[in-house]
Amino acid sequence: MNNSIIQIQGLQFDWDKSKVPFITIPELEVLKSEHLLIKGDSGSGKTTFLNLISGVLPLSSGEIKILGENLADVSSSKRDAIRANHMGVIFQMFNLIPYLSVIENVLLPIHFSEVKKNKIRAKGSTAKEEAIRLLSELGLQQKEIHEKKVTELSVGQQQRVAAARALIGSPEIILADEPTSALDEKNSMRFLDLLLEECNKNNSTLLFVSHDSRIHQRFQQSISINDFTEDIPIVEKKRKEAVECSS
Amino acid sequence: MFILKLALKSLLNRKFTVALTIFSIAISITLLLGVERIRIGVENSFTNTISGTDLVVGGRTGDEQLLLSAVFHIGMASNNISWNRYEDIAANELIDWTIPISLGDSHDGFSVIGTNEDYFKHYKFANKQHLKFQTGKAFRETFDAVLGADVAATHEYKIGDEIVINHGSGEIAFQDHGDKPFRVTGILERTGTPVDQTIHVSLGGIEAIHIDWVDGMPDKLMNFSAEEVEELNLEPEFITAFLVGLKNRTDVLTLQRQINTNKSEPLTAVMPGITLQRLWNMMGKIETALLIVSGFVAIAGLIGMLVALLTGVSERRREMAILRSVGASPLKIFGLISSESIVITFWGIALGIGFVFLLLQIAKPILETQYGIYLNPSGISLQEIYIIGTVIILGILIGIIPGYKIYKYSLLDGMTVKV
Repeated sequence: MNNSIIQIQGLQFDWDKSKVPFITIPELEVLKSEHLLIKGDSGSGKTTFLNLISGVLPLSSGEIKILGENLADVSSSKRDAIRANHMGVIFQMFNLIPYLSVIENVLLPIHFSEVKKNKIRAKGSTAKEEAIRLLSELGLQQKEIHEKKVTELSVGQQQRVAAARALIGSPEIILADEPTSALDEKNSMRFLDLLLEECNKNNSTLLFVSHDSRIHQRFQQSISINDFTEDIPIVEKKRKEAVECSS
Repeated sequence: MFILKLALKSLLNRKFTVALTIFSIAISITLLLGVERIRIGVENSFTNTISGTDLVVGGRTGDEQLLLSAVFHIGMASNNISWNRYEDIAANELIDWTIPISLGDSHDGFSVIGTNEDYFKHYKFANKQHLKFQTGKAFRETFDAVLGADVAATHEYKIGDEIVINHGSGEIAFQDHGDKPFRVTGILERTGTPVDQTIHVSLGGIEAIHIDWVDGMPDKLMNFSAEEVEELNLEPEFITAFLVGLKNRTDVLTLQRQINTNKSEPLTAVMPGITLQRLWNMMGKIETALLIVSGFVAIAGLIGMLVALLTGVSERRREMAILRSVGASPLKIFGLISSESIVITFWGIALGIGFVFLLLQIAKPILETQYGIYLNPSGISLQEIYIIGTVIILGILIGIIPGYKIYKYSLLDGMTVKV
């Protein structure tokens, strides 16, 4: 198998069939362990793009291949399974289920994916140990935090819990939807560095959506979602510039 | 199952609202089952006003009229039975016992019944219970009287008190038997039947107070004192009705036909159980109304649950987006919300059943002694299973509404919620 994790061909998506496509991506390839920053103005469709990749929204036309599997060809429940088994998602805010403890939130994906569960088992560790390890690496090593209600955490801590949840079970793809926008600059950078470090350890491919220009230099690659609709050659060029991340 | 665990945690997170919702469903169930229990209790105590009696025999009249006059003392029998005829029938070899009844007089609105000691031996009510004495004993002398519990309670009569019987029924009497008062010798325990409102005297007593009367008036020439009258022959000429207990219950139709078709004196024999059931069915509309009212209470409780669940829906769209992002399918999310309502309904019903049994335990002695309503305190009837089943099904159906709404939202929202 090649190093291609996500392959997009002739993707079109619109909310309303009669209208001009909302998102058009002629071609895009994301490689294993690549960290890709997706920039775009508000309302440009960054989030919709993530919903398409994750298989929550069905495409209007074209294809998205995740690990070789074309999302356009499979049922919505299969798309749910692909997301459960191979992806981790971090949102801008409100990432956590309020009635679960920190550790329970981190463990949430394990209940929806045998694949993730087995990966942890293959490492010779239990899901709970893995959750504690991830939380500690993300700077939440204090035991009392693990059993806390998530509503008692600061926003920065909440985002790190969300990152641990996305990373548990070492999914191939991490989707991050502006996870730093609710944080101040110092915390933003710290969060981003931790996330990148963990992605590197896991060999995970990171798709990071942000309009925040401050974080630009941390990424090897960046594309602008606006490019897709404006100038196809630019995308092509950016894609070709993509370098595999050393692991 | 993880979804169910999640549902429980989510419910625990909203303890207060959930507890209130469960409570409101519990109250609906308590009401529904309670009304049902009491309805059956009332019906049983009505249809068992008299039990263990196989036939009620009176002068030729309608079944219901005979029963109303002989057992409930409502209305007057149009015909009497001659004493000789009564003795003839009572001698029938199929018959185990008889209780003669003579009606027509009253005391302050309470009916007076003339009978004999067999009344206290054989008269049964409810679950074949015998009459019991609170205090005192059965009548022995001509002017002895045994009071029902209500009669004694209303007038605070005690053993040894003297009472005067009025001629005819009704509270305002124009003619009384003041010259021959009766003395209370016993007071019966409460039965919840017309016995409580009855004064029992001997047939001889009834005969004695009327012996110097002609055409329903005191005779102008005859006048015997209470002492004189005891010396006379006090065997009655007529009685109003009599109750029959058979040696073998299967003979009831045979004897009924014999009595009804006998040419010598036109009589009517009715089976009290069947006739009471027929009377109950005539009045049974009230119970249906009660059941409908408690049905509406149950619906209100379930709508309360729907409101509680629906107000949570929009707040919980973010939660659903998170679950979607970790790979939960919309169907699982539908399952999560629906199982929450099933859990609420289940606990509501369980708590409601608990309440019912608790209340029954508390109310049982009160209802029995004060109203003569005998409730079945344990077990669940088929009817109750239907009621519980209906509420469960309605609860599930109602739970589908917020589940479906969330399902639609989660399809639309995906992983991102713009609230």
